[in-house]
Amino acid sequence: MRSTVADEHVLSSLRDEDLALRAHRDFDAFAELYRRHLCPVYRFVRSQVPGDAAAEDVTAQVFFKALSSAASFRAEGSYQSWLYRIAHNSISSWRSSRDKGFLVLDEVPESVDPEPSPVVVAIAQEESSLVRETVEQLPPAQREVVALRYLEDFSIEEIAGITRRTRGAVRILLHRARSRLRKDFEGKELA
Amino acid sequence: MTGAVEQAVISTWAYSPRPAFSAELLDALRRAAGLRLLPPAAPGHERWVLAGSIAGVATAASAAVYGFVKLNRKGSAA
Repeated sequence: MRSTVADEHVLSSLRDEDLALRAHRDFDAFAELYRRHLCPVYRFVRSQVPGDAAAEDVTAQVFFKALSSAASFRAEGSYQSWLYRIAHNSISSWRSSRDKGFLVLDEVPESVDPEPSPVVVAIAQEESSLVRETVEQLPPAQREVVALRYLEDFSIEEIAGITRRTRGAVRILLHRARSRLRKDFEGKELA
Repeated sequence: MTGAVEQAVISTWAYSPRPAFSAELLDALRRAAGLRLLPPAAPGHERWVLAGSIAGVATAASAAVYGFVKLNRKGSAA
């Protein structure tokens, strides 16, 4: 059943948590949550996995899990933290499958255009920039907390909840990541 | 971390999904939800077990169909 414009207006005015409590019996409520969170969740996932195709697969998993377990959401915490905990678990599973040597289709190299367009060349140049190189060389746990803190603006406490770590452990990971980035950037005279 | 470096981190990860991806995934999710909402026939406790089973199978099937369609598209584009 399609929602009316009036329904959509009501849904768009609701808080995430109110929508989440309806999401298991009202797909339009879930769709509103999806519209609000797809871009940031994709951006976070893409910052953690190499390649757009892998990011799409993991993002799809996140929202299928969010839909299938919508009834388990409790309003004690924020919906955003709950969703990112699903994203954290999905990324961990993806890494685990990759590390066990399972075939990950997204890592199969796609055919290469023998004469790349100027746009492709420009993207390749950007991707080889020192900044990208340095950030992407952070260990996965550090990269994850940096993304949650600076990209998604979560507090230390929220990051601890999402990643199932203590606040102290999150602070240490952030400190190490900052030190490493600062050192690398200053060494390359970018800071 | 300095503000400049923080900005560099943010711009490095300024990714956004393909516009088509957003619509494709929402459509797949809608289909999964539609299957789950089929009224269960069995009464009492069993109907919830059945509903849960249908939901699980529907979600898994939709995810599989989504992956299959994606693979086909990737294959035909290559």
